[in-house]
Formats: sequence, C-alpha cells, structure tokens
Amino acid sequence: MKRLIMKHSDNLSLGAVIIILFAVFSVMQPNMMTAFNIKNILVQVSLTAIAAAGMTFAYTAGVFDMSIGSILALVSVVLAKVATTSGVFPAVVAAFVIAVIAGVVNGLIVTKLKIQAFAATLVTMILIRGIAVLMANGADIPLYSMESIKFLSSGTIAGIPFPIILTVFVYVCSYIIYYKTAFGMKLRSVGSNAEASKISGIKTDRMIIAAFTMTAVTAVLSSLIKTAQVMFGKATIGEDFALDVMTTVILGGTLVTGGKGNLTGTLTASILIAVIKNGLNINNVNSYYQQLVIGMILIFALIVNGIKAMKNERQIRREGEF
Amino acid sequence: MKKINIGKHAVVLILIIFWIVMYAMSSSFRLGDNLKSILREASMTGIAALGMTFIIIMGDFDLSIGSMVALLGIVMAGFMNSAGLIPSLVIVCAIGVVCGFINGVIIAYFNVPAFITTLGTYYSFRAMAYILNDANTIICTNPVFLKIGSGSIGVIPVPFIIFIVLGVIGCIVLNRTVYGRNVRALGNSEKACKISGINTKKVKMLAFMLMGLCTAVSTMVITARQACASTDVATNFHFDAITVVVLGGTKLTGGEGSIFNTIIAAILYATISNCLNLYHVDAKWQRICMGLILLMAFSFGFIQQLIVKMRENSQKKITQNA
Amino acid sequence: MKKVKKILAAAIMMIFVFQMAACGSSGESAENEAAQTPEADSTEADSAKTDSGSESSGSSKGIIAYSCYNMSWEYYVTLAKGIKDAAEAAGYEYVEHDQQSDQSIMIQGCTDLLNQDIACLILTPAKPEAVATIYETAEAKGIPVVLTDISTEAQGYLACLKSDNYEGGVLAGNYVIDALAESDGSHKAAMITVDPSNTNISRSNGFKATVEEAGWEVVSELSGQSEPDVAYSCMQDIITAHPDVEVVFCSNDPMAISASQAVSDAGLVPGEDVYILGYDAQTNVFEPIKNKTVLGTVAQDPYGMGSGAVDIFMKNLNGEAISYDEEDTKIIYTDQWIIDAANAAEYE
Repeated sequence: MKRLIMKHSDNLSLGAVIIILFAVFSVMQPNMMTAFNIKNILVQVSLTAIAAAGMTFAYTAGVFDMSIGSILALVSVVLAKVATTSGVFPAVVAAFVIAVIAGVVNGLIVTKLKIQAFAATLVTMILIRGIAVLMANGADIPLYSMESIKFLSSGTIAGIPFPIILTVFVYVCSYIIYYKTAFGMKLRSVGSNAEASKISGIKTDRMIIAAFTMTAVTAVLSSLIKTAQVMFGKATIGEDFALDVMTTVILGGTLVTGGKGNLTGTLTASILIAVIKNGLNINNVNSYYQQLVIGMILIFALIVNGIKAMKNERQIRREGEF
Repeated sequence: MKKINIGKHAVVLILIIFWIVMYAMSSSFRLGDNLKSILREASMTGIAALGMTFIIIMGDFDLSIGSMVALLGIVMAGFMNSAGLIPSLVIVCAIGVVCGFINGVIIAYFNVPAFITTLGTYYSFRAMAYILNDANTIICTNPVFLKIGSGSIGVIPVPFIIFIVLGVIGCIVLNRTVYGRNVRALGNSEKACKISGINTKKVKMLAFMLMGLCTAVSTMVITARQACASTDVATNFHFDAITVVVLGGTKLTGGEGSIFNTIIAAILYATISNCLNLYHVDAKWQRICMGLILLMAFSFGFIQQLIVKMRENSQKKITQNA
Repeated sequence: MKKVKKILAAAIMMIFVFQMAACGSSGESAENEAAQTPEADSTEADSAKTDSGSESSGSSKGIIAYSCYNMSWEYYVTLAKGIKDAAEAAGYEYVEHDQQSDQSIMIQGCTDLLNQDIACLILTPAKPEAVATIYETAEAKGIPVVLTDISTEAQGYLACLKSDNYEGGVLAGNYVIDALAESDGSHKAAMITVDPSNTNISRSNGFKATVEEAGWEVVSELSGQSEPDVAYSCMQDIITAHPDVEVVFCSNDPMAISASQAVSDAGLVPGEDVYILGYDAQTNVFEPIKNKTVLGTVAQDPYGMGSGAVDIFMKNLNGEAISYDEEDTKIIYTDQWIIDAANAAEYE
C-alpha cells in the first residue's frame, strides 16, 4: 500500500492541493460548492484537458506542439463558415480534415526537414494563424442559433454535459492507447531514445507524425466545444492556448525530455488550474493574479521535481558504488 | 586559411542583395529617415538578440524576455520620477540581472529545462508587473532619457550605437574569452564539459544573467522610444529575438553561432519589416510572410545538407565516368 | 575570414552613412506603391522581386493613411470605410495600416508611413501614451495628424473625433434604470469590461456611477479581455456568485453575445431572468436583440468619425477654422444612441 502511495505521490499531492484550494475558495464564496458551479468547472476543465491529452502523447514522443492555438482559431473559422453554408456534418468533417493535415504537416517539417519541434511548430503557429485571419477577413462569423452545434457545448446526455462525456471518452481512449497498445509502447520508446528505437526497427518518423496528429485532433475537439460555447467563428482566439495546455501537461508531471507521459497528472493539473481560475473569478479577483498564481505554481512544482530528480540521481549513484 | 565560409555568413550576402534590390526599386527606401528608422528598429530587438545568441549557442531558450521588459520598464519608469535618471538606469540593470539570476538558478541548480522555467517566468514576471502597477501606464518625460530611444548622434540613431557597442563586446566575449569557449562547448555536449571539469552550472547561470542585462538595456531603449512604460508591452518579444538569432544562422541545437551574424540578421529582419510597410502589404499577409521567412531560416541546415549531398552525387558520377 | 568580415561590415556602414548624410530628411515625394502585393512567395535571395505596384497616378493629390488599433474588429473596419470613402471623394489615395494591438508596431508603422511623406495621418492608437514620438516626427515633416476613436494626453493632433465613452456608459445606465424601473428584480448589476483599455473602463465607470446613483448595486466587475470565450466563463462565474443578478453590462458586443449564451446555457433565460447590454452595435448583435436575448447596445458612429476626420483635414488644408466640443483637448464628439428591439430594424 505504501509503495502504491509513493508511486503516485505526485498526482496525489496535486489532488491534495485541489481539495485544499477548493475548500478555501468555498469558505470565501459558498456558491462555489453548488452543482452549477462544479458543472461549470468541469466543462472548463474539458476545454484544456482534451487538448492536453493529445499534448501528453506529443511530449511522450519527445516533441511538442506550439501551434495548437492557431489550429484552434482556424478550425473555429472553418467550422463557422462551413456550418452556415453546408451544414453541421460537413463542417465537423472539415474540422477533422484540417486537424489531420496540420498534424501531418507539423510532423513532416520535424522529421523530413529535420527542424526541432520548437522551431517547426513556431513556424506553423504563425502560418496557420495567418491563414485563419485571411479566411475570416476581419469579421466574426456568427453561428446564430444552430442547435446542433450548440449541443457540443451545452447538450447533455443523461444529465451530464457533453464536454464532460467527451473528456472521459478521450481519456479512456488515451489510457488504452498509451498503456495497452504496441503503438503506445513504441511512442514511449521513441521519446526516451530515438536512436535506439530506430535501430530496433521502429519507424520513428511515422510515430512522430502520429503524435502530432493526435495533438492536432484533440485540439480540434477542444475548438469544437469552444466555438459551440460562444457560437462564433473567430480568428483571434487561442493566442495563449498552446502555453496553457503545455503548462497543464508539465504541471501534471509528464517529462519534457520524453518517454514518460502522465495522463492522470495531466487531468489532475487541468482540474487544478480550472479550480484556481474559477475560484478567483467568483471572488472577483483580477485575471492577472490568476496568471501569477499559475506561473508560481508551475515554478514551484518544477523546483520540487528538480530536487526529487537530484535526490534520485544521488541515490542511484550511491547504490551503484556498492 | 583565407577561404571564406559563405555558408556560415550567408545572412550577410542576403542582406546586401536585399538592400541593393530595395535601393533600386523604391525611392522611399532610399530616404535617410527611412534607413535611420530601420537601424533604430533593428536595435530594439537586436540588443536582446545578442544575449539570446549566447543562450541558444548554449542549447537553451529564454521565453521570458518579453515579460521581463514589462516588469523592468515599470520598475525603471517608477524610479525615474523619484530617484532620477542615472539611478533608475542602474537599478533596471541590476533587476534585469536578478531576473536572469532567477531563471539561471532554476535551470542550472534545480535542473529544470530552460523551456519550462522560462515558461513559468513568462507568466510570473508579467503578472508581477501588473501587481506593481495595476495595468496603468507610466509616462516618462525626462528629455535626456527620451533621447536614448528617439535621438541620434549625427546621422546614427542612439539605439544603434548602443547596439553596436554591445555587439562588439559580445563578439569579443564569445570568441576571445574562456567563458565564450565554455558556452560553445556546453552547447556541443554537456557531458563532455563536465568531464573536462568545466563548471556547467556557473556557465549557464552567467548566460542567463547576461540575458537579463541585455534585456534591461533593451528595455531602456524601448521605453525611451515609446516614452511610456506599460504592462502589455513586448508580448512577442521572445519570438522576435529568437527569430533574429536563427535568421543569423545560429542553429537551435547549439554549439556554434556568431554575434556578428546576429547583428546582421537584426538589420535584415527590420529591413524586411520596413519593406512590407513601404509596399503597404496587408497585415494579414505580413504575418504569413514572416512565417515563411522563419521557415526558410530554420531550414538552412536542411538546405545545406541537400547541397552537400548533390555535390557528393555529382562527384561520384565524375569518378564513375572516369 | 576576419578580414573579409571587417571589409563587409565597413562597406555596409559606409553605404548607410553616405546615404543618410546625402539625403537627410529630403522631401522627396514617395512613389505611391499602393498595390497590396502579397509577397508571400518571394525570398530575398531570389532577386525575382517584380515590382507590380503602379507609379503614382497623376490624378491623386496624395495619400491619406489610417493607422488602426486592430483591423480585425468590425467597428474599425466601418471607421476605415468612412475614411476611405471621404478620402477618395476628395481625390486622395487611401492606405491602411494595422497595428494588431501592438504598440511597437504602432510606432514603427506610423514612422514608416510618415517617412513616405503622406498628406495626412489618421490614427487610432493602440497605446495612447506612446504616441509622443509619432507626433514629433509628424511635426518635423509638417504632416497633420487626426485622431479617431481614442484620444491621447499628448498634444500634436489637429482634432480628435470620438464618442464620449463615459457618457455612453451613462446612456446605458439610464436606459437600464428606465427599462427596469417597474421590475421587481434584485436591482443588482454586474459588468464585464476589458481591463487595460481606457475606453472600456470609461464606459464601465459611466454605467456604474449612473446605476449606483439610482440605488442599484454593482456586485461584480470582471475583465473579459475582449475575448468571447473569456466573457463566457466570466458570465458563468457571475451567475454562480450572484444568482440573482439582474443586469450585465458588457463593454462590447462580442462579449455581450457570449454572455447571453452563457446565461441560456445555465438554464436561465436571457432577456427575462438576466438582461444584457452590449456596446458598438456590431452586425452580429442585431439578431440577438431582435430575439430579445440581448437587451440593447450602445451604437456609435464610426463611419461618421472616419469621414469627419477627413473633413477636418480638408478644413485645415483650406485654412478654415475648426470648432471643437472641448477646446483644450480638441475633442469633437460623435453621436451615440441606444439600439434595442424597438428600433433595431431601422439601423440594421
């Protein structure tokens, strides 16, 4: 039992922080504990959590994607435009097509042009946003009252809002893919040691392209919900989305160096950040304090991780001496 | 060895060609004021790019410089009204070094990757600026100070003089000192450095503190130009600085780089931006343009490899036919 | 290699200095390359830069340039149209510059425009406090500057055409008080504003002062950062904290529309349980107003601002006197009025 707790200590400590914060905020503003608010928090969680699941896969493979904010914007614009002219189904299909193309392009730039993930996705970030802005041409594209799209954000199945169900679905799939499939294993191996993986026959290029595609697809899912919430196609959304998602993944304990993704941690971290934002909003606190809090928590968590890593190293070295 | 390595200094060639073409084609470009404006703009990003060159050669990134500018600007402007010009400039340099110190400590001593640390400080520094000043803007009226940004000595803008002076110092440090050698060695292989006894932690710390100092000087110039300090300044600053360094041919993988190239690249970047304005290119297309330029810059390595391969192939054919 | 480097550097320096010394700040009239050639595919290494822009047509009297806060907002697109129509009617060429909400781009772009010796600069500054250097350059070149929509503390402009944002907030406040005087609601109000923006803060302050005077309570004030999705979650959180809030004043329309979405998603009825007000009268808000999900919006006259700016420039050129609404700040106010379900049809 003790070993179980030690193994999951990171996630448990995050969980503890969530509960403490929630308690503190609820004392300051009792309405925090209402079902309505908790439902809102969970829906807000789903917006980043879904994209963060994809990003966890990317980190596992040793890459990351800064362009998801721009993908968010492009999909929002395309969704609005296609939905108002051709209907909901073609719009959603178009959105996924964009996701796959974006992911493949990112992957190709990284693998074929041999450009690092940071640089490659920086470029696609700018280019994709440029395309989104061009398509929107200065206007917000309204979706008026398309009920079918509304369902994506406020529809319920058996009383549970659709976004929450989608999040659960995405995470269940992610767990299965990560832990139970050969694909997941290959991804992890590529992330921890790309050279060795290549020698042992794994097609590393394809794995990386797959990782980028997963990130893009989950980003599109997030975009669908966001656009459905506001019923607008807007080319300027998501400027900070990529950084927010990456913060979530890192806070959740996934290693940036690759090889070890922590899906539970990602989910817990998304909940933590959503609770912070919600709690501060309800207590009428300026949104810039929210950023400070999140930034400091990130740094603090990383320092703690760093100390732990150093202790581990020292212990391994000591054990190795005997 | 008088053979010029064109590949390494390709950016100089590009700048010269670009200038000659623009000179011939646009009478507005030739205007003295326009050229002055280009040099001035180049210095704004260029000064920070000098520090960033060291960091990228070392194999790291610094995403927090934009937020540093916000924080330092507010601090400096705040002190200027009470403490006077020189003390406030000294203070801002000191605090810049402190910010760099914070980054450096977390990265070097707590072993947190630079990308993540500076992500955390990206949020935190700007948030601190907000807390200090509450989203208000501080106006600077000291005429001597304003000259730093908008003044010129003779025909050369003051910021550019500062830029060149710092650039020369940077060049000397990088190429002629033991420290510069250590930075390059660290970028090549951290393990090799440790084995040969170099104190990698100190090298990293110093690099980030230098970056903080460069950012402080950049802040002086930017704030002087704008005659005000505000919390939402320089939101894309890190992007511009990194672009300039990469445009100069410094590889993101680290190990090699040239301050001279960074200076030229800063001028090139400002020139391109200026030309896009001269031709009244739509803002939407400007973004895409910059993205494509960035893509090209990042692909330098790939293009070089292609050329080498082509040469090899043609040589093989020659020896086969012989 | 060092030697070649030094020679190259010296050569570049010499070209700079020579050209700057020779031309100085000559008043060479700029070629009016108004063609918006997308340079997306040209690389610097290929000298294949074909200049497809036309030479300045003899019939144009010069360029009137409009540098704008952010051309992705419909309000400014309308303002720009006002300027364009008036400029072209007066025989001038019209050129646009988008600051993309970035103050450095504002300074750089305006300086570049001024260096091309345009006839007039019409400006909506992204950062009003940073314009001093633009005014300096404009004065040195003798180019008049007219401000639209956002005023600056520094002087250096012919006139500033804007709406009185504080009054707009007051207008909204009075409307709400009249419309809901009979209701038995909680008389609690909330505001979703845009934090660092002076324009929006004036509006909120006007609204707040007015309703508080009439006995209402402003229970919450959050920043929607001008992003509809942020406004959405702000609205949700306002309802959570104060379920009996009656009116929400949003300082622009996109935020108002998202807020109404949030209200209906929460199971309440916008227009019955919670009333929402917007600002700017964007095209997208008319539908919700007619459906009564949004109570109303404060309309401004951006087109009038734009054409008015060109008028001021022409008056100045012809030596006519300009009459201001406020003498010391040279502000001229344009109209504002409320659009609600009753008069929406005529303004669409």
